[in-house]
Amino acid sequence: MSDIHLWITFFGLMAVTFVTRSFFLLGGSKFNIPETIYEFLRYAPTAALIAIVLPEILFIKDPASQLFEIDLYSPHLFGGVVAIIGYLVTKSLLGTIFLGMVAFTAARYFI
Amino acid sequence: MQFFKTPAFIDGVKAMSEPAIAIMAWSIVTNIALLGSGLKPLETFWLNLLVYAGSAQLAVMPLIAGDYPLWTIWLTALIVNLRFVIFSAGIQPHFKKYSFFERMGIGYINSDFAFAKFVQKFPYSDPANSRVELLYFLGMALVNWTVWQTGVLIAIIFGAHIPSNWGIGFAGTVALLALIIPAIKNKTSLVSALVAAITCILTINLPYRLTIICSVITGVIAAILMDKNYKEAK
Repeated sequence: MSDIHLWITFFGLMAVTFVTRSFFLLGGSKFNIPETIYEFLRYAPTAALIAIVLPEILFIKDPASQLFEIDLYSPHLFGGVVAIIGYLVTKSLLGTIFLGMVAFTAARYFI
Repeated sequence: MQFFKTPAFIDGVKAMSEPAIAIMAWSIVTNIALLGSGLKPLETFWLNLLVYAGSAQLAVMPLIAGDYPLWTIWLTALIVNLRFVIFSAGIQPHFKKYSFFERMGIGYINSDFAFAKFVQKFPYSDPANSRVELLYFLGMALVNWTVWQTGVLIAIIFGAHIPSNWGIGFAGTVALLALIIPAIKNKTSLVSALVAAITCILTINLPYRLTIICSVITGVIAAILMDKNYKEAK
């Protein structure tokens, strides 16, 4: 890819990011989100985070086909489960990261 | 204007100070991957300054390396970013009275972490409290931005010395778990989360990481239906 081509790509990506991230903000106060819809948008981030985390924990990417396959014996799942227990016990983010990473790293040596 | 000395801004900075470790780890891993797929250090630096969308950057990188047509690259970034269209509706009632450019800036620096924590802190928009909400949001978003860009520099300078088999990127995944669990605090949010998880498992192999937006849509619909049933039962 030539230099100019790469910069055009970057600026296009920048425009796409601007439009998607500020999409409903652009209308300002001329545009009102109905109260009932707004109320349920509170559930959106958790759903998105789940869909970001789950592929990392429950699945493994097959290098040949690039498809995700369920893998129940992975260090990732073990680390994830320990992290969840870690959060419920410590209620702290740093505690969760620490316990999750220790379990994940240990599991990589034994699995 | 010394907005960075206000209590609300400092609260926002504090709220992000613990997730910062995870965001840093993520940024380093993402940018090592970008460098590994052929982007030069200076290009990597500018890409992050201009675009600032980690998951979209990762998704388009193989396409850039493979000389795919521009529209495929942009479309991929658009689809990976779709969840932010929904997130922008979530912050709109809080920030609608600000000027056009301020609103664009607010949208641009929004992130998964900042939005999830913002909604947990301010579930309802209160016009009288709008300034506090903005300062808190800015505190979080600016920490997120700074930490991310620091991670970019670390990846550029030290990337060659960080072995990929350390698995430091997993710290980001674990940190998100600590954000998901406290959000599940009643029956509606539990069902919404389960529906999102099942949707993700069923749609995981769709192209363009469409699984994220599918899970968001079904998760939100599940919450609406749960709430309706609950109200009818009363």
